[in-house]
Amino acid sequence: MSGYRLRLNGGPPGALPVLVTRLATDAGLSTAQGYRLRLAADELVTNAREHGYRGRDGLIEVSGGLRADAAWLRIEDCAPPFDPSAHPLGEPPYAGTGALTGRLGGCGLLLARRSVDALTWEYADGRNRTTLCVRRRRGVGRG
Amino acid sequence: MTLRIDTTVTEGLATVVLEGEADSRSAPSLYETIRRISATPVTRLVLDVERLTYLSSAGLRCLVYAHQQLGRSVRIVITNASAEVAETIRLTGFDHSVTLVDRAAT
Repeated sequence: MSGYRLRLNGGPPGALPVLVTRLATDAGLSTAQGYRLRLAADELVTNAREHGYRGRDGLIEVSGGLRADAAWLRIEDCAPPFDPSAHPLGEPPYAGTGALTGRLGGCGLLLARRSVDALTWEYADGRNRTTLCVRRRRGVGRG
Repeated sequence: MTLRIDTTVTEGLATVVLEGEADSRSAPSLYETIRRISATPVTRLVLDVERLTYLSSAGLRCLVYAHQQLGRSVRIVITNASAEVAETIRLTGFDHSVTLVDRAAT
């Protein structure tokens, strides 16, 4: 891992929380904002690994940076095109009797989308590129 | 950071204390804990998450799995949840099925 960049090739993304924590600290994000950014990134990386690559090893690159108004994280993978922003969120999957009778799962994308201020996706050069943004608080943080 | 799980079962009350992170890495051990508890006659499950610092959808699935295995008749109480953990539970609607007690309320 260097700067706000890391490469994951299978295995648990142990370095991801380290990267996100450093980015959140430098951006001056609140504890809650940092937690939610990590959660969103974690869910998208897990989604790429389990569904995009179907559990097989595959390249996942995470990069991040600071803008005057926001911190951003970009997750790239070479799995088939998948737009996490295109699927309707609908009702929370475990609301009502859903937790008792429904299938396990299906809430990773919901958590990712609800945890950040903006989520954008593009498919270019054979890669999914999903970018997460969290607004910075004024007058706080470096960069 | 891994997940530490301490379990006690006394007279139908199962108490599970979680410390660390409940995510895709630690989910298998949490599933196994739930599977063992569901094989014993319990009437109430208390999940003490005061020291749970992170909950992803993979960890949350384990809690939903507990609800499905134990059934509607077993009350599940999640105590001492941090604001972030409680929000994760609420976003998915799972708070409809359990008694969720925030840290601020205790």
